[in-house]
Amino acid sequence: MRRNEWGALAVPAVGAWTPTKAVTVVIPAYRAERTLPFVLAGLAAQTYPAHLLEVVVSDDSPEPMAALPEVRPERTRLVRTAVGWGRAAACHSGALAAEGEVVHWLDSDMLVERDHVEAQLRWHGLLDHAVVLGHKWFVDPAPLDGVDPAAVREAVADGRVADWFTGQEREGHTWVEELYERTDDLRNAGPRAHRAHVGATASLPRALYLESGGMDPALKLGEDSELGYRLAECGAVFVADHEARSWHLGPTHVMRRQDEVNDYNFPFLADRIPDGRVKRATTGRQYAVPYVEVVLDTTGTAHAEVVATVDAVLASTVPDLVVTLVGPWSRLTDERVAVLDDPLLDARLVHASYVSEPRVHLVERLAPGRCPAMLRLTLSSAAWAPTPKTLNRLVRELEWTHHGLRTALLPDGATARLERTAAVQRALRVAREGEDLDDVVDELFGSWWVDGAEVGFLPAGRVSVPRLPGRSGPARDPASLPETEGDGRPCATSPPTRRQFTADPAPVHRSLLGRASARVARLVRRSDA
Amino acid sequence: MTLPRLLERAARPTLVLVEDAAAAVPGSAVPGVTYAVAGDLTLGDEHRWACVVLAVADVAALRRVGEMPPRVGRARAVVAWVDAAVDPVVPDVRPEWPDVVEVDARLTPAGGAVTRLRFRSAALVHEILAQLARDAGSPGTAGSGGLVLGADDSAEVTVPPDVLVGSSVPAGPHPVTGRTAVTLLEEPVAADEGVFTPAGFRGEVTREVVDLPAGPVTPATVAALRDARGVRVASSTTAYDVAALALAGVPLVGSLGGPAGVDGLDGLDGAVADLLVADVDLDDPLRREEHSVRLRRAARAAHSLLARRARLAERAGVRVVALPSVSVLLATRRPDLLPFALTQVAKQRRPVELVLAAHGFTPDPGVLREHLGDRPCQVLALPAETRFGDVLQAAADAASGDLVLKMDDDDWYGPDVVDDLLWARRTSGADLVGMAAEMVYLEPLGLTVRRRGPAETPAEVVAGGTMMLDRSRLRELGGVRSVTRFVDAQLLAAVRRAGGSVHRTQGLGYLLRRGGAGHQGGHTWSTDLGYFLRRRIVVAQWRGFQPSALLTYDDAERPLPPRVSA
Repeated sequence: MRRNEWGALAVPAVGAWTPTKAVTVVIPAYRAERTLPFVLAGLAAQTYPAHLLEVVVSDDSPEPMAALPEVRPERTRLVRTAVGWGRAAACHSGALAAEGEVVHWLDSDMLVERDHVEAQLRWHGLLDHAVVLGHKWFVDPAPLDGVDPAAVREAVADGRVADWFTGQEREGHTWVEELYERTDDLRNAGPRAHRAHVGATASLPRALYLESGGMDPALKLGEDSELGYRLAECGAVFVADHEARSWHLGPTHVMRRQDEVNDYNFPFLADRIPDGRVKRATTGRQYAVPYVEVVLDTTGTAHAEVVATVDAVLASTVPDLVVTLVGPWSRLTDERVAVLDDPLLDARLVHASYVSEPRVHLVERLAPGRCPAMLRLTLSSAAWAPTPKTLNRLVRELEWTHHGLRTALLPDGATARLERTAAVQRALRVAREGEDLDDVVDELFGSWWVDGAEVGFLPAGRVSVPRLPGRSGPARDPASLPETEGDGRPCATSPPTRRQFTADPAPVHRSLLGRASARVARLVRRSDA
Repeated sequence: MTLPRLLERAARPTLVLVEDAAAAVPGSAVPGVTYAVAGDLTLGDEHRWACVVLAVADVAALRRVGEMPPRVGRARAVVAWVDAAVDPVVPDVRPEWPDVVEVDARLTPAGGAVTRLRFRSAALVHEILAQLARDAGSPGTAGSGGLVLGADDSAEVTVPPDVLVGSSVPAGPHPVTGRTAVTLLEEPVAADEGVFTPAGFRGEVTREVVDLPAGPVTPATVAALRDARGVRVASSTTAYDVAALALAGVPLVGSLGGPAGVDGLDGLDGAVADLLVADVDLDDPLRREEHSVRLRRAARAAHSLLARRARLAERAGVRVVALPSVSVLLATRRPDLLPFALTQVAKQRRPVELVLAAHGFTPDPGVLREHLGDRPCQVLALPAETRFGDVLQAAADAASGDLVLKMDDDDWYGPDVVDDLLWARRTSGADLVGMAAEMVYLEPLGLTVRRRGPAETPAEVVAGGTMMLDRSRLRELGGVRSVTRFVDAQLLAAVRRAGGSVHRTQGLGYLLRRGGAGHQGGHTWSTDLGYFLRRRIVVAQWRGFQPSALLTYDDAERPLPPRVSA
């Protein structure tokens, strides 16, 4: 399936297929005594075979739940949230306790229709990396007050649930519905489909969940969004199933105190989801999950080239990146050597250059498995350094096209490959024996070659990152100090421009008139272009 | 200006000629103006008119009349009025005409064209009309190829017709030809390839699939449809209309009724009809253009004037020239590429003569036999130190074809490349025709790219491995210049210096190979690969060897896997 175009899956109709997969419905419960009986009653009336359906109620209440409500599926277990607290912790505990092959989240205020679980499970037989998002209407649960859960079970079984809510305004999940609308139910959302990941009713293979690392108990809100991002990174496809219908009994947190919730989530999600570009600062701030990891194998390369290239990468206008340098770092011991004739001289100087730079990671070999960043740029050679806007250009074009791979070709045959982690992981899932992974990435997400020179790579020797101005000299009279540095240039605080990176620096315009005319010339050039 | 106004001001007596009786005759009752259907009127050459006006619907009609212009006498003013036109009809003033006082060729505000000629003394009208007809279409289509059409086969005629047009019955064997002319019983559906040409085909569209507008198809109709993704024809469309649109490469689709939608197109060739209902993804620019090219090919084989001529000639038992003969000039210094290169030549559907110039080696006759069979072939073995230009010149000297075509030893050629080039030459009339190096295979990357840029247009440059021109013209240009590299550039420059024209046709059947064993003479890396990846150059990329569907090939022709893994 290409990107997130799940419409290509030939899904069987509800009621017209034979379920085989065991599913565990995980219900995080926090003081849910009012609605949990209805939720379990709904689950007790499912068309999904009882022998394949398990329910785990993960109790996160400060005062443990005494017993499970009486009307419930046969195989229902109650577990206590093991580590931490909050919905994420409860979900995670439940998922760890789950025995089913598929984990089905269901909030403790979700009354499901009889074929809800069956509808979601249809997809998991077709694809082992699908995340299915159920549909829900928000309703006022008042009509259910005092109703016997057994009556609810009967109503679900008979398909009469809607009768309780007739006359009520059925509200959809507004922003999710809008996203569905814009993206043809996520089919056209491409790598952004994970943004619709809300967990009130959703299901996924347990193995995929565990591979992603699971919910982050440090998050008290926004845990679904964050998990969605990581699932996408694992190659997940997000399916919006409108046939998996349910009733959300009462509005959510986010709906009641939308702005406060958003404000609360902002720093947590900005730190963890590089895809949320607008939440991140353009200055050099660092975040837990980088947007781009730049990988360079320095083995046997002259240190000057490596330093020129890495410094150029660090000066990129993409601020939230890290650089991973592969080299023989553990061999840099304190054994006595002829200092300037050290066979490991280049490695030693590269190490010394970056050992204190938090954005540069020095590794002996690239860690196997999923790239920790959303994108990975692999430079096949240190001989070519990017100008400051180069990486952003590559990244931007990859994002605009929803592609999975972009390769810049350099004149000597070296390459700079930008890969989308989500695309690579999906390709690894679906590639057949002997298939070229890049071909699979191309089929799944698309790929494109560009001319390295055109996007701004230069020979490393021609690139120099500007250095700070010197401060030496005899003591001067404080009353007569100039306002600018000695050479007339303003103090170097702004990020370097591309011009500073070229071999032939542009003339410095000392006079106001000169600067003004240069600016006019630039504007004219820009409007010509 | 309108036609009635023009007639009002014309000197009397005026003769107005129309193509057929069905053509509307404006203001028939004006005194001093005589109306006649062109084919019906024959007067002596000494008959005098002040002014003769030929009024037709489009330039195709102008050319039909001009093919056998009526002998209506002389006039000092001759006017051609075309209702719908794209370009003015600009006459080539001939030295044998009386002195010309005025030539005025223009487009009318209503979308037509009018050409007026005035002479110091009365000129023979039929000669002027015949010239205007030639000037209204591609010069590549001039002449009849040896087949003579005429209305009079009486014994005293010195150039009697092979095909008798009109209502007369053949008089029997003619003393000049010794055979009886045939009559034109049933006119095959034919459109004018000198008028309905693919020039102007657009790869980028601004409208979706549209219905063919009502009314006869003229070059103006075609021009107005160029921005559409496709054009839907209905069963009410005539076979002539479909033929004209197909010749022009308009991407046609049948009506929603499926095959039934084209059943009504009486006289339409089966191959064209099949294409109308073919399942084509017109949203894909490459598939759309391939469809266009297939339509052109099918239409020119069945519904062109050339096809009609061939059919009539066969019936009349007359020898005619169809398209000129071609010698392929293939120079190579790499024996290992020879089988590949020979395969590209042997693939051609149109028979060609191969002139193989082996540069620094002697080809193995067994290899030649294996790949060429009994196709005509001349082999030259030239010493390695011969300049490349001289190698090609030697091949050109040995060639016997009317035209020479330079082919490269490492590029891929679809089976219709020679045919496509011959037709491009016919419909453009250019001195040198070639294809754009539009599809390129970057061998070290294992990547196929499609380059931006218009096809079917006059051009500065065409791919060196597709250049076709007249052999004697090449000689006049001084031959292939004695240089070691940039042979192609020398030839293009020579054509331009001589005032010649260069036309670039679509290049879907041709695939340029880059960075492999190719143009670098054994170098393993070509620094110009990046050029083919630039934003301004590329419109599409495909991983792997992905030529156009028009370039068919055998597995043995596939490239080796890429050397750079990236």
